[in-house]
Amino acid sequence: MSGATGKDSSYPFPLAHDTYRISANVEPAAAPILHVGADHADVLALRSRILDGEPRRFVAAPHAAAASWDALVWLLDRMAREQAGVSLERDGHRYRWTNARLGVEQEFVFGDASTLPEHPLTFAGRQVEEDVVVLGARGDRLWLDAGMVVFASVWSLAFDHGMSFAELHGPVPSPEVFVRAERFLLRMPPGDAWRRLNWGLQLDDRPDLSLDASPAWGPRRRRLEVHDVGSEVHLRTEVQHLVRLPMTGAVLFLIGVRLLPLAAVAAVPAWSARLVSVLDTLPAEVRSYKDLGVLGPMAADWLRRSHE
Amino acid sequence: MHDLRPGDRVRARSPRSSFTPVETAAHHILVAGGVGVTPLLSHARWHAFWGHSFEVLAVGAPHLDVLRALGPVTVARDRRKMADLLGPVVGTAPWKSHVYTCGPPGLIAAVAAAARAAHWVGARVHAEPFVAEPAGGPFEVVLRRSRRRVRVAAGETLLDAVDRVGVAAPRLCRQGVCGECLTGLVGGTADHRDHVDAAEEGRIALCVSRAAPGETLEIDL
Amino acid sequence: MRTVPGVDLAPCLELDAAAVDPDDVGPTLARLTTGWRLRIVGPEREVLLLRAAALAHGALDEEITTEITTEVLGTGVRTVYCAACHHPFPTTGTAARCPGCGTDLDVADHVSRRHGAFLGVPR
Ligand code: FES
Ligand SMILES: [Zn+2]
Repeated sequence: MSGATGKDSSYPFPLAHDTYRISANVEPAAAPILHVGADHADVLALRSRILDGEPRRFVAAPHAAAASWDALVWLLDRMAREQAGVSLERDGHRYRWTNARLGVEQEFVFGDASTLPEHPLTFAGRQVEEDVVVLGARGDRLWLDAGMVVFASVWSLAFDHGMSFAELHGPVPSPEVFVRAERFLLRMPPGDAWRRLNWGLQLDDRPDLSLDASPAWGPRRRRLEVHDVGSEVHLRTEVQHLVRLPMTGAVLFLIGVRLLPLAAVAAVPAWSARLVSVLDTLPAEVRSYKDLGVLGPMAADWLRRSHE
Repeated sequence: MHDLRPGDRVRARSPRSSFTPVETAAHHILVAGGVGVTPLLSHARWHAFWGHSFEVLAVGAPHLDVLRALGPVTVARDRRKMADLLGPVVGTAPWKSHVYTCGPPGLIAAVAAAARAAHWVGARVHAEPFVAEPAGGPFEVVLRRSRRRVRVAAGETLLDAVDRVGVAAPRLCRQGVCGECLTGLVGGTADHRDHVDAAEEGRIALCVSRAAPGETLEIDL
Repeated sequence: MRTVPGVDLAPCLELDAAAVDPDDVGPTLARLTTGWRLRIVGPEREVLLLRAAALAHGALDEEITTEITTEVLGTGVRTVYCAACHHPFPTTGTAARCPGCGTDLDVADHVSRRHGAFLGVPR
């Protein structure tokens, strides 16, 4: 379920330069913000399966209720603007939501939890490919107040719940980048949306690389069991969107995972050359943070050889 | 944003992150002076909608009947009476309270003083900041490598001006945050408005920074 | 639990982390007025758990001071939160087996003030 093939010209190749340094690298978001890939239905089914199997892929503080409703309405409205067969009608606090593609039809009253079958965040989170995080803004800081995250990349939502933005990024090299990013997010006007790309390499096509699931993927990753680099090793691009929610000023953080096998990277010579260059020049601390000590050189060598 | 009601779509010009209700509060004290009542009216509607505990202290404020329909309102006849009112209200506020003031600077200062006297930490005290848009007068810039002299108009950014004459410059955020557009500053004194400390590296953020009044800049572009 | 003068003369409640049950923190704080400070004293593990409870009940970082009476890295008892099964358990040292799911964990340098615990990363 990689969500992308070599022929997918819309793949958001994440590297803009021949060298990579950790940076905020944000840019204004452009529509569509919410991705609908060829395997949309499979992705949504997988998201629900993971959530239902492990309820702690969803967290919400009691004080996140308003921001969660804010996020719900923003997401549904966004889907209605961007996607076919989807509509959101409003009459005062009363909404009617129709998602014909998924066969979902729901009337609800804003702020009234009893009018939805589940929490507003999981109701929305099951209908988008992106993981959904709500960062509440308090005391000039952002706090992880709520989220539905099933495709985390080596972190755990349940552990990170309640952390400040700075605490969340504690393990990242160059944390000062995130101090600036937080200041930027807190200055965002309501309704603003920004995009940034993050990337990594992995030796399978699992979108769920959460710590919660690490017993399932960790052992193979540690043994670096790779038989066919081109088809097994994947470039993992995270398309992240940051939205200042209009009513509460909370920041909605969306993370979409797009996987591309190295063979498909190799099919685009410019991408291949850039990834090789980035991997060859990666600073040591970034290399170890992204766990690319062995996988990085392995991928670079394979890409180099595939062009000989 | 002033008539914000839950469920409304809004588009505001400037962020007011420090003046949105703090959702973790157990009790909200809204202090309104004069027309400063307007943003607090939307706070009161918000709290009434969600069933939050709140109270309003008003001095010389209109719309009192609207407020009274939403929750408890105490009116002070003048500023001095307001000062008398603040001490007891702030001093006996339940655990997890926050206070929000919108009004003239004197009122904001009086509330801050009352909160300090009751040993509140600053993070529980909020005031509507009246930030004026920083002025952006015209100036000239010399592009050293392209050997051009460009006039940056008032209200135009340095980045816009460079674009206008067709000189390539990198950029991403256009908000002085990402650092992508930083360019060497070779001459002139800049009015730095970025958040990435460009000045310390002898560079300038083309997207937000300008020349200091009367200065002409020379940049490495 | 006793009242002590705070740094800036603010009223301050001192909590002995070894003696106070984190479940009692909520009702205790609810009796205070805004302006009170908290001072939490005790071994690292209990201090972290009590601070987590205070934060959960609306105390701000600015309102809490802590004093850890016994802390030697790697020898003190700390709470580790198993990333795989979300079970928190006390342990010493930098590696442990989770009693909840049996996974071998490395204790990371990543602390959650909300859990009052260190992250246990499956190895
Ligand atoms: S474009 Fe981001 S700092 Fe100028
Ligand atoms: Zn476990």
